[in-house]
Amino acid sequence: MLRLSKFEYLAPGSLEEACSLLNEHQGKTRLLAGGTDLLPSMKQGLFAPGYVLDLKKIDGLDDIKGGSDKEVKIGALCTLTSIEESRAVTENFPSLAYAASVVGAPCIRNMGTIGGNVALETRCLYFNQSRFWRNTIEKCIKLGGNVCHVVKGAKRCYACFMADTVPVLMALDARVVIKGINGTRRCHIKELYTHEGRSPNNLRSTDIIAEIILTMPDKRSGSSYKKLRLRQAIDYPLAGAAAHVVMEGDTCMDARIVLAAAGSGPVEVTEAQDFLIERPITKEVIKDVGEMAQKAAHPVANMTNSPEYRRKMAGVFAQRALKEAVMRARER
Amino acid sequence: MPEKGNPDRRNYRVKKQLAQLRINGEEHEVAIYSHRTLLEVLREDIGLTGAKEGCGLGTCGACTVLVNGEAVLACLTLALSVEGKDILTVEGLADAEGLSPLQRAFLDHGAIQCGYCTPGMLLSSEALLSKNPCPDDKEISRAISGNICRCTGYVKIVEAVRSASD
Repeated sequence: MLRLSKFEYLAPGSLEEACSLLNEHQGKTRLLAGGTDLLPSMKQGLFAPGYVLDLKKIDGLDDIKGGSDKEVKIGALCTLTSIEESRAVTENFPSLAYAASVVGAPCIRNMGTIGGNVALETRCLYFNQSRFWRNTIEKCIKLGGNVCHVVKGAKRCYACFMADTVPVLMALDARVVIKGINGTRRCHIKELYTHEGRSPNNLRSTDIIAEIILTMPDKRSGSSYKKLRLRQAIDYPLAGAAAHVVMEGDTCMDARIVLAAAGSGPVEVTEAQDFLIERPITKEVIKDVGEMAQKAAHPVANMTNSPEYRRKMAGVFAQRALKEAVMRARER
Repeated sequence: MPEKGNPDRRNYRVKKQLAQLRINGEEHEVAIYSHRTLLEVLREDIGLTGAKEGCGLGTCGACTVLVNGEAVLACLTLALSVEGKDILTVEGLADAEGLSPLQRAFLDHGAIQCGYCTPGMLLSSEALLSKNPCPDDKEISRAISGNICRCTGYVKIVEAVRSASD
């Protein structure tokens, strides 16, 4: 049986208690939410924390509050299944409901949480392997070594950020509420990511994501997410794109296009966003956006499919996402 | 960022903890280490070997059990984290009168070959049917999409679940 190494289990009943425990055991603790990402990594010996702090016993972190007409608040411990099934989400943010519904398999979505997806570790063909496998090659940067097996001579880690919900949350300009030892702070989700594979987000070791806040979408807006994966049943994205547009008739007034699995963080296609403003959406425009997305994507050889293919697909999926987002905006 | 070794492992001793687990309606008290998964405790401490370990990493679904009616992976669930919750394993499906209608349907349709995936398949289907008594084939396929059958008997499994639905 594949076993976990020993650790002490902490199960605080409140966020305050959790923060003080994190402070007490700084740098030695890993947060456990759904466990679908952390526990496999620990079983493979990628992390060996002295303490595991279970957030699931904290009340009130798994609610979706959609009462107000201004915003929807999603507790960080909401499972992906609950997001996929929530009326507040499906009615207002269908792209998020869809992104949640294509993560892993039903069992994984019943366990995995949105907070966990936001704070997902990056993945790499040379990192997410058994200890035996890893011992046959030199230690890579992500494991604390000096080499990168993917990009020769690299100074940083190029592991891939593969969360499905993050590009969508970024396209919807979600805000994240973070509890820390010095109180609560809020930031735009975009500000969380470092685009560096070794530590993909800038959350401190004493920080806990508590909530994700989404502003109600404009009546003229539409959003979409499209994902490419090898197996439809259960897989990380090989490429993916989220799009959000605000339309005035046939003209795009505002747009956000964010790519999944295209780098060590969620990749915003800023060129396309600027290009789309006050431009009528035509077939040619959508094609141009695809090319810009392809240019912005920088997949490297850290997954089973070739980077060339994934790069091309980033363009194709950006086009599909944009097309659907525009269609949804028109239907509203 | 990966932590190198475990800096304070020398300074503390992890002790066993008493845990109260409600499995198939029965209360079990076990003394376990905190790093043990529900699958390990079910198989090694309680003696319920219905849930299987396939990959141990959450990709095969052989260890699927129901926790409060939701299908979850026992290999990625810490036993201590499900204290006080209702755990249902494949052993809890049948009652004194015999197999459950779903189990009976699996037998009647030949939806079992080597049998390794069967407990997971049964519990994923059970979770589906309890929420959606009349699923269509697409919904059935989606519900068992995390359960891998390497005998590739999916067609018969879908037929069995369909026949067990209302």
